[in-house]
Amino acid sequence: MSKKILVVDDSVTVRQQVGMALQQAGYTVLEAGDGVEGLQVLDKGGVSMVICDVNMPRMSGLDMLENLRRDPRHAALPVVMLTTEGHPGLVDRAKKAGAKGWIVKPFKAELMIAAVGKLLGA
Amino acid sequence: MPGWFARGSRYRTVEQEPATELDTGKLRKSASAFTAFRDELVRRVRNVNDTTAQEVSEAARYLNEVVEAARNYVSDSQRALGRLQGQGQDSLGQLMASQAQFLRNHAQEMAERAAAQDERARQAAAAAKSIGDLAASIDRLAGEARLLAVNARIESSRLGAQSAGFEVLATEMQRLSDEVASTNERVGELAGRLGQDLPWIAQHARDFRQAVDIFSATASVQLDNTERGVRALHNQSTSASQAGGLVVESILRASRSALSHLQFQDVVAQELRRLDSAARRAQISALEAAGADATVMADVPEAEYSTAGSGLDTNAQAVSASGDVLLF
Repeated sequence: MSKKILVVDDSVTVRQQVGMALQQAGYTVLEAGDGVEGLQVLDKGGVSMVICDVNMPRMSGLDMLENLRRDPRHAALPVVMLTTEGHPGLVDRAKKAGAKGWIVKPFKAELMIAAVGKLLGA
Repeated sequence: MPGWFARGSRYRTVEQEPATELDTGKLRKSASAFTAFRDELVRRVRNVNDTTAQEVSEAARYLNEVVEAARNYVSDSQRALGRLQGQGQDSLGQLMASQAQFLRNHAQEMAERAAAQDERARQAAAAAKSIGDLAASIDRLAGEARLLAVNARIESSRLGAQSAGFEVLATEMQRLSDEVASTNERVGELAGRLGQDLPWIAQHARDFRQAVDIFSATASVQLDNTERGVRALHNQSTSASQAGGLVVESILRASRSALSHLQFQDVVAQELRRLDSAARRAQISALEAAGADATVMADVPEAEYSTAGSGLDTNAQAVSASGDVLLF
């Protein structure tokens, strides 16, 4: 059974692109359009990893990260931020909140897949 | 604030014109024009975003279809080649090997049976010849018995009535020797017939054995050729399978590369949204400068998304470039 990865991004096209790359690499992809929706999907369980945008409506990716870390069920869940942002303050905040990686859009699918494989121990 | 401009070979400081009274009317007009400009900007940005997102979705869908089709094709081909390569009970290689073994076993059995038949035919021919020889001996013995019977009859005639027993014995000996001779004649005839037929049978057994030997040798060569053919086919199909895998890998690489390029739509969209936010802030400033009620902007949505970067130093150097992957 393939591992489930939750992709959280307000852009449908990015979700499609990330999803396609992950599916091609053999992962199952779940999608959410913002942080609030992302937390709802996580509540259902079974997610092995989260790839999350930073700037999103309702709840940003960093807010979502900080929220899910407060839940003991998701304390060790690998989260990688995928964003157009490259500001050191944001990266630092993500790191402190327990993000495992930071990928700057436009991402290179092969590098992303390699990073995902490394974090999931594949 | 002093301004700088070049004149001749030296820079010279000139005093700026004193500030004039603000023309509120003009500012209001400018603010109004700016509002119209921003409305148009927002409309166009949304239009560009929607259009490009739609196009990118289509392109991504086509890419996915190509990758899926290639995967399915190679998967089907590999399954077919797997059957050809002998990766299952119903594989061509397995079937051919099984048939070859079956033929070999039967050719061997036929050769052994033909050899046994040949040997038996030889033995039968030899036995028929012995029967003929024995028949000749019996014939000779019957002749001697007949001669004895004749002598006994002569002796009986000479002795007269006192030799009636001899006469009976001579008669019986004559009858027995005649019957032996008659039976022996039939045995001799049969032995002769066997002697004629058995060499023919033996010859045919030899011919049959030779045919079987030729068949076995030919079948063996042909089976070897077939096995070589199957091995060559196996190697070719393995190469074809590997080539198919490489093609899919290439398609995957091309697809991923194309995906990377398609993301520029999102990057551009985000930049356009930031431009919209900047224009909105400028609009509020312009309205405030014109003395207009900027609170009317409260009715205009702040932005379509929360910006985690707001309030940060936008001049700070980015920690990474596009495409970079930082793992903590």
